Amino acid sequence: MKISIENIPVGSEPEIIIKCNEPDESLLQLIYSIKSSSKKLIGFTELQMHIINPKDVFYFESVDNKVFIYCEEKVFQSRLKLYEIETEYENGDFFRASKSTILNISKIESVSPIFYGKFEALLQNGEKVFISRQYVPIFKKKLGF
Amino acid sequence: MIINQYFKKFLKNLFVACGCLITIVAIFSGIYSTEIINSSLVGQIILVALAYAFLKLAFVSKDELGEKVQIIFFFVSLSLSEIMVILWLWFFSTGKIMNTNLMIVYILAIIIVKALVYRMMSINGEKHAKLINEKLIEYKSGEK
Repeated sequence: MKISIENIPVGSEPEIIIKCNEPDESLLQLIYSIKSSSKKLIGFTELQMHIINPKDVFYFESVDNKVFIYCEEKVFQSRLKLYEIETEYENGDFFRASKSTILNISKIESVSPIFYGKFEALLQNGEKVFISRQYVPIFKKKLGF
Repeated sequence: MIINQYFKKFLKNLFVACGCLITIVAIFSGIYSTEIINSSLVGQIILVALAYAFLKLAFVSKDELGEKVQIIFFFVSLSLSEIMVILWLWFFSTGKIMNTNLMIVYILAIIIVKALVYRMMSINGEKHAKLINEKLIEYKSGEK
C-alpha cells in the first residue's frame, strides 16, 4: 500500500483520503482503527474517573455483573456491558475469548494448548487468560487463518 | 462457592435426565400395559442419568478454575461417567458381560483408549498452538 503525506497550512484540520477500488477486510480494519483512535474508554476506580486509551487495555472481564478493564498494572471498572464493548471494539484488535472476557490480540505474547481445544493466552504483563473452545474460530479468523 | 455452582448444574442435569428417562419408560409401559415399573428399571434410569450428568459436567465451561483443576475436573467427571456405564453393564446386562474377566478387559481398553486420545489431543493442540503463534507474530508485525 502506498502512503503519501502532504504538508497542509498551519491551523487547518488534518485530513485522511483513502484511494481504492473496493475496500477489503484489511482496509476496513485500518479505517476502523483510524476512526476509533479518538474513542476513549472511561474507567472508574473507587472515587476517580480515568480516561483510558483502548490500545492500553489488555482485556475486559465480567465478574458478578460488573465489567472490569484490565490494563498493564491497573484495573478499572466500566459502566459498559460486555456485549456493548464487544460490538464497539470487535472490528479492532479485540475479540471475545470466553463468555466473560474480551481480549486484546496485540497484548498476547503467546498461546498454549490446555486440553480439548481450549487455549491459554499469556499476556505481555505475565497474566494468563483462557480462550474457550467455541471462541477459538473467532480468534483464528481475526489472525487471518 | 464455585464447586457449589457446578454441583447445582450437576443436580439439574441429573433430574432432567431422570425425568426424560422416566417419561420414556412410562410411555413404553403404557404401550405394553405394564402397571408397575420394577426396581431394576429405576436403578438403570438412575445409573444412565448419572452417566449423562457426569458427561455434561466434564464438558461444561470451567474457565474460572485453574488449568490443573480444570484438567482434573474434566478427567474425573469423564471417568465417573464411564464408571456409571460400566456399572450399568455390570449389574443389569445378562449373559457374558457379567463375566468379571471381561469387565476387567473392558476397563483396561477404556483406560488405554483414553490415554491415546489424550496424547493425540495434546499433540494436535501443540501443532495448533504453534500455527496460531506464527500467525500472531505476523499479525503483530503487520500492525506495527
